[in-house]
Amino acid sequence: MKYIKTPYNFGEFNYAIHPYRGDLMEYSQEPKTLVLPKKVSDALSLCDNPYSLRIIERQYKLPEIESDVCRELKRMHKTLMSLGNKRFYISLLYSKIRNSLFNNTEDAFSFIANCVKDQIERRNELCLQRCLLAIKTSRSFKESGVLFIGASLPTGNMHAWIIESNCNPDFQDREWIMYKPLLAFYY
Amino acid sequence: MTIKNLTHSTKYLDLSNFTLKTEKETISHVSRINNFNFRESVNAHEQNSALYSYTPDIYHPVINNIVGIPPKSSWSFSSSFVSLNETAGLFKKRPFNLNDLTTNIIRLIHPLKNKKFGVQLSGGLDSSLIIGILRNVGIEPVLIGLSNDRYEFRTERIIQEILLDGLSNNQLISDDDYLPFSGLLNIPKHPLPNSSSIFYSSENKMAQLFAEQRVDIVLNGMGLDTILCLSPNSKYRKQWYPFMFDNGWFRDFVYQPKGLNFSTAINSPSLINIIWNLRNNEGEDNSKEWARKHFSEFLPNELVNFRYKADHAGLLIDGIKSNFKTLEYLYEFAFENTKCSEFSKDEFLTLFKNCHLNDDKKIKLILSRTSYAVWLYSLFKDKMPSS
Repeated sequence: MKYIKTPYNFGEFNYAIHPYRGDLMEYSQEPKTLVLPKKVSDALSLCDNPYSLRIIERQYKLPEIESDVCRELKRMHKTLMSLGNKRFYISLLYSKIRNSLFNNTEDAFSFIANCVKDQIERRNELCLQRCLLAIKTSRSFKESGVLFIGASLPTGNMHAWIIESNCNPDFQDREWIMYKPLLAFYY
Repeated sequence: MTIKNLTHSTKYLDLSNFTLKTEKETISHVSRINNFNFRESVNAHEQNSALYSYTPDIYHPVINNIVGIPPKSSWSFSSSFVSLNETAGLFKKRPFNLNDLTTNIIRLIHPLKNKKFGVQLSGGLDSSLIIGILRNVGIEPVLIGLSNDRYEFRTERIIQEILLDGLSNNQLISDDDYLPFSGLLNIPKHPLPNSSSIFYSSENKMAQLFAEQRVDIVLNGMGLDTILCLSPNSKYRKQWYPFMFDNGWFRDFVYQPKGLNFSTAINSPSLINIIWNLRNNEGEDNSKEWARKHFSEFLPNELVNFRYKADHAGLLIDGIKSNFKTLEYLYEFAFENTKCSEFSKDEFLTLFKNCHLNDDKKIKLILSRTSYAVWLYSLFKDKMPSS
């Protein structure tokens, strides 16, 4: 998985997210102008105008949850939880070891939301683990997805979300628009 | 004892003799108090602010024996508790449909058709719905709103642009010039502290612009969060009373002094009752799916198809940073005049340290203490030696 920083100027400072540690960095020097890959620049412009996203079905009809798929998801979720936010880069590496249980990331998020108890009870705190689990288990992410890590300034709160096939496939995520994308991961 | 406030403003009940006083009488009464227990008063206000509610049944008196009575409400006072008396027309089960809602809105607006309406244009669902419904019944309201360049408000900016398209006499003012915590030294005298006073500056500017446009009635979207989100089966029925939707402080101290009638758009029990019935089989609906679906003809497509959520934490934090010196001065004023440690220099620095981390408890405490200091300053700035 490749990454590209998309620094942002807010007030007196510029902000970026460290690609290995996942920390929010504040610095005063001017950021370099980067040429963004088309996949990232398209996803970024959708982030900038959230009303141009594809509308996804709200009342998503979940295919019957197979117990072995659910068991597998829970096992991978447990590993991501044990790695935690502090082992950011190792978590990313873990998500790179693909286990394609779902055809697309929308399905992956729907299953995660319905069968991983932690993601039901603590969904606001576990956005990174949810996205990485979706990336790990979705066939389509490699082709068309971008993972963004963003920050809300000046609070410094951070959030992870995915843009894939012109939508945010996590249909329950209403928070992502409050965060400025600062780091993008993609294949 | 039953106490009714049938007027359009908050009245103040003196519990020592059960008489209702106006705000001016109460300000005069409060200004003359000599033996004031500031510590108890500050603590009471903190408890009230934590609940964002100032209704008599849960209010902790900041001034001994003085309780605010919201407009159009009736309360029973006994020696041990205070309870809300039912409002006629609410919670009556009937098979309403959406046409009944439109008919009711037209019936309510009809006697006001010669009045000029204004709506606060936030770019969110609630104010857009009010604008859409007014336009549907043939009223073009004056739109005044706050706007800013912050990244997190880009969806609001798009909606504001759509709703203002092709209109004149409407205005967006920059939020950056009227941040929360601005203009705190100019806040008018008010009888009791209230956290809303922190947002005086932007509200005052909007009121001024509405007044310049000779608007009669300014409608706001307060309360729509309740009637469109809360489960109608909820036990907390008090939340559905019209007085719970109004921001009494803005009405009494910002809009009414400028000759404006400031009201929630859903200030009628019959209107609330229809929505309560229409949503009667619905559960909690935090993203307002029901409203987006049923009122789609009144809303821009963007708000029907997407359900984004704004957060104003950044504005609050920037407001604190921009007005730090004034805040320091107000806390110093409050400390000198109350000797309460809550306003000491050390406590001030501890409270405001790392406030950018947006800890909800801390923000509530900041709003509470600051609004208390602002209240004291508004009442006593001319009298106390530190002024």
